[in-house]
Amino acid sequence: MTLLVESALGLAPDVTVAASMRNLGEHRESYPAVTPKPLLLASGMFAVLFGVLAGGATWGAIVGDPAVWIAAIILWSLATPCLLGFLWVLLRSPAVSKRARQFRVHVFEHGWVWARRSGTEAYRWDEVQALFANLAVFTAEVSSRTPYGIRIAMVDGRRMEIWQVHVDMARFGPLLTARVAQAQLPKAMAYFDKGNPVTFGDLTITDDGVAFQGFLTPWSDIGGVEIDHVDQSYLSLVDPQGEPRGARVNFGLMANGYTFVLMVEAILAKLRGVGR
Amino acid sequence: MVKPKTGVVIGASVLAVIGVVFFVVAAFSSGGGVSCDGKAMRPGDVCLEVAEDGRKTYHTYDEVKAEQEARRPVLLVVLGGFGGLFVLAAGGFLVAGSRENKKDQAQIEAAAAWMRVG
Repeated sequence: MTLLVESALGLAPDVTVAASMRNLGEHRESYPAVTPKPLLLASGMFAVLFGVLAGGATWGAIVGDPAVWIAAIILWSLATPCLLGFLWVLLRSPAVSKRARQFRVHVFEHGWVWARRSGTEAYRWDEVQALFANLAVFTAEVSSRTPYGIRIAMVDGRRMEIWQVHVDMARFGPLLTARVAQAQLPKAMAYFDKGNPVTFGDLTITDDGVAFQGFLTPWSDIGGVEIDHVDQSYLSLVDPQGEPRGARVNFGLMANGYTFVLMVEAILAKLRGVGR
Repeated sequence: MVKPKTGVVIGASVLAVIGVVFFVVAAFSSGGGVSCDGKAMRPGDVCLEVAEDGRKTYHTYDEVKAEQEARRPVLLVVLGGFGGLFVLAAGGFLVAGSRENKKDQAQIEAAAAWMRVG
């Protein structure tokens, strides 16, 4: 087999090849790898804290009471993994590693290519079998942050996990989840239209409504779906007046939650169309 | 039991290693002879304790032995307790991770049904 590799857009040849092999279409945009500052800060802070205490205890054991060696050993056993973790993250980050600066997520028309340490792999939106989106908004007086992690299982059995320590997930996360949900919706609807219930985690969409732990909320009582991302993400059904009704599930543990939302909206729109 | 994710295994291993360090330190602290200023004492020796205000107290071998033997069970319980907590947390972490992975797997297989339609 021969492939024409065009790198006119500045894409690395391995990225272009991977995208061509999966027919991803045109290149749209790229997201560079990021330095995981929260991880560095956390591991560095604990390394310094335990390191200073361990150093003090060691000094105390040498010049003073040898019984302090016990405290020194315990503190060193806590400081060492923190320090090793800090160095491991720092040396592999784009801030220090030239190789890491080459890592990117490239978005194409029909999917994305992730060039990273373990290799360059292409994924199509319509080949994502399960997507778990774990995000929560933490708001403090001075700032707010949104940790964003996505776990994916592909139809060919491949798994991937991407979160804010890899790329700018505030931009890539919503794009990824929206494209995957749009690609999955026709398949889920086709299966549903053949008379099959469709299960998303603890929720099952049936002809009569949405079932949750043996309790059915009929379509007539459902006005939509709400996702609350404050502190931890929860998905709730709401009635036509916007009040919570029936199920409330942990959104981060639910496969294809955004597809569930689109599917409920599509069914509600269809039912409103026929005046049911 | 479904294997938990790599991150969970690494986290649990770190907790378990810290727990084992506590156990090892507890084991070393629980045995051994009687000591004064880090040096082994023998029957007939006297240990001189000098307080911060310069006051001197002499302790016989039997007094030091009684004091150190009274302190050892407390040290053993405290260090062993911390070690046990870390090992328990590691185990809990692994079990929770395994359960979560099992639930994830069930959801992935459920999605396969409608993904095949397209």
